[in-house]
Amino acid sequence: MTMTTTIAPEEASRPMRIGTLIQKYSTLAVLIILFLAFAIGTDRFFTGTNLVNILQQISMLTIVAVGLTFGFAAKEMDLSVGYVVGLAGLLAPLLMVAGVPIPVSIIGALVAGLAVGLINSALVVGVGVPSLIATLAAGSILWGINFMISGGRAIYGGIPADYLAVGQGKVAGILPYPALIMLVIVGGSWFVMERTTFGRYLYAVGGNARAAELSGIKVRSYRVYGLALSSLFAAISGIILSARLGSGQPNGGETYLLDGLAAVFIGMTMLRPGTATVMGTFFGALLIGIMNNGLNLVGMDTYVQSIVKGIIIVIAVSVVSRTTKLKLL
Amino acid sequence: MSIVLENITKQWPGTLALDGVSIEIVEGRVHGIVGENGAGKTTLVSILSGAVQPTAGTLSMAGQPVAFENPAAAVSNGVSLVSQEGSLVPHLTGAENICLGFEPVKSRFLINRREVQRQAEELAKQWFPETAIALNRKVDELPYADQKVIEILRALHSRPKVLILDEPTATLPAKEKQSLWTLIRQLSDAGMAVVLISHFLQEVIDLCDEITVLQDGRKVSHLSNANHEVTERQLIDLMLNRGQAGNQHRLLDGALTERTLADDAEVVVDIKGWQGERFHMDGLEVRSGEIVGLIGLTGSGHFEFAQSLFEPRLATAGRYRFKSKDVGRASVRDMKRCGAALIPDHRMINAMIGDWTVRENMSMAGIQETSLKPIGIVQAGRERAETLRLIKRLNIKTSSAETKIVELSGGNKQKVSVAKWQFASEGKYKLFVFLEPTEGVDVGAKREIHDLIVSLAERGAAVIVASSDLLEIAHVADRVVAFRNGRDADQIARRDFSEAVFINAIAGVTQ
Repeated sequence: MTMTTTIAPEEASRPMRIGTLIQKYSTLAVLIILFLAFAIGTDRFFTGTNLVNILQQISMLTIVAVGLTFGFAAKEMDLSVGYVVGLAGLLAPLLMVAGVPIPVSIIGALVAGLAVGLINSALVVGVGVPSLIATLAAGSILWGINFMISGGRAIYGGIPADYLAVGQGKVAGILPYPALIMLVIVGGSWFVMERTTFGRYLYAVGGNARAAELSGIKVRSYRVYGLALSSLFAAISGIILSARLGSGQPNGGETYLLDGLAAVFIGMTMLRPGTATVMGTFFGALLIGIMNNGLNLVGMDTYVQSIVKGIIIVIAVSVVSRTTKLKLL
Repeated sequence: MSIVLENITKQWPGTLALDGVSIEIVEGRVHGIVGENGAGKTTLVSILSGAVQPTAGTLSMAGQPVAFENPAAAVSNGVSLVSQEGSLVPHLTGAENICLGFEPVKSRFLINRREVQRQAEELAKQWFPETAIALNRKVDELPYADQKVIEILRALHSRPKVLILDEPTATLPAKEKQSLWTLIRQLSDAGMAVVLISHFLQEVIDLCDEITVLQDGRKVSHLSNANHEVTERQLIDLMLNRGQAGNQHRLLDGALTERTLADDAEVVVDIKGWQGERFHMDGLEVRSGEIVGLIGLTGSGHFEFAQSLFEPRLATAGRYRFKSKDVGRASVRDMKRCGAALIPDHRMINAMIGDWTVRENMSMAGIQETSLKPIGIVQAGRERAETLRLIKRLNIKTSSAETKIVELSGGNKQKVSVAKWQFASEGKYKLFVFLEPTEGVDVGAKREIHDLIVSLAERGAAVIVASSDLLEIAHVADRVVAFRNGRDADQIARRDFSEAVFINAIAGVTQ
């Protein structure tokens, strides 16, 4: 990732105050309008069961997107997350089917995810390959590996019920475990990013790597952390996915990349415009979740949902690029 | 055809880059423009070549007012620029680069490759008859000198009437410099107006018919040099002198008070034969409480040397002891841990995060000190209190601690850059290295920054200040090391400070 140097660095972009205000809250307004529209337009939307359902539906996406947020904070983009979801979602069932105890299987899948992140960061930080390209290539390799280890078939049968509960159980019969795990991860990540020196340094590295380095921050390490966490979170999401589906799917996580990026981009329009934040990302995922859910209830086809989602991404990224200098490569 | 700039002013937010500059560039003559970094040369070139629009003032060609809205407009009006850094497309051939944007076509839209090659060769034969360049090879495979020739040929392809050369010889080997000089003479003999911007003063004197000297965005002098009668010394005087008469005394006034240093003051920096790619320092000792000023012309190595005291990896050989401990090739982090701090130049690129607030920027280097260990939970209250304390103590003008750093003036940004190393770290840092401490800082705030530098020394730190502002150095430094051609050349004690002595040391004139 390179920094662009302008002729007069002193005059860095200073978005207009009112513009910033509108921008900061326009996404939130869209979220609320969508919510109200569906609540009024359909009678099945604004019910306790459906709202819990939305949380459940967005949980895996949110976890992936929060992982991406760590990468984005350090100005690294991880395009391999979708396949890491697939990898972890296959590995855990495969290990369990082979008789490995549940905790060990889960840890194995997490370690595999983390390993992918470390390989990515070795390429990006060690060799100097731009993260966009390194992780694109890693994604391609992982796609192949996922089909290789699964033989191209879904893995099911012999997965212990205790494992399935991770994806299908509920706390007190109300809150699904995936939603709970998501809320814990969102809360924890928010705390780390907003309230610890770790988060501050990660943002510093993404904000101006040279300034961070000259302030004594371990720039290279934080770039590694960003990429490693994004893979690790994708692996967590993969485990929940396979537990929820009751099987490991070779192409299970592919949609999470695009939706995850969408959530991050939408989030970048709010709170601190131009910066990926945990809460922004959570709202982004919530927006996507409400939209998918609502459009479903209205009876809109999935391909229409995809079109609507694409349009929203374009709008979100346009808003961010217009007012701040969005530098991704 | 001549081109006349009248009262050209360019205002960037916070800095006046050009202030009412008038220049006449005449056909058949070579016009040199000299000045230190920040004098306004680059802005002037950008305005001439259409990359930047002046805030005020007019351009006219052959008596007709013109406005170059973009570089293409300048080219079509006959003004071509050979810019300082490479502007070639690396994976195109030399010939393709020369014709870029003006490719001869056949069948209406196909590039006539043979014609491209022919035109390029013809141009090369016309202007560089003695240089053989493989115009059919990709330019990134060619030596740097050949690339420069191709850049010049590309500028000449549009048959310009005015050719601007921005630091054309900066990276050329001696032999290629010679052929470039010959070319410049040929061009002006052929009736072209040539503008030459260069740091190599002797080159300017040898080539130019007239020389304009810029300083702090103003034209301080225009010299006729028809018989090459201008001297290097004369130019340096004009470039560095703060202008008005009586300045000699002002400089001396500042030098009257001498600080006394305790005999047992600790040696913080101890250097022997310390060298890197672009600097060489024979030996230097800086003790706690002492301020050493580094001066030199641009490119003479004093900034690189100063930077290497915080980034020892920039050095390739030599010994550097920090508080009696060998530094070796320590990292920035190690240096920070031992107690070294750097307040870099180009602060928005090297020191600040533009999107961040005053508080976040200020706590960047010291936030761990106000955080709860071991996981480093930021204590917002303590961070805020420490920020407010420093805003008050350094008299930083900001509407609040949560104001974005970009909204502050240059001087206040610079204070934040200094405050960074005092954030919950008062007394921790034993060495402060300043690079161009008052770059883009207005006069009032300059004074405060100088007081700040002195107060750091008075509280026991060793301070090194590298600056191209001699008056500034005279104000703050206890002694001065002058660099020439990448080496430390002279040491000057405070009692000997005077503008003349500084300039002699920089120019290498012995009295």
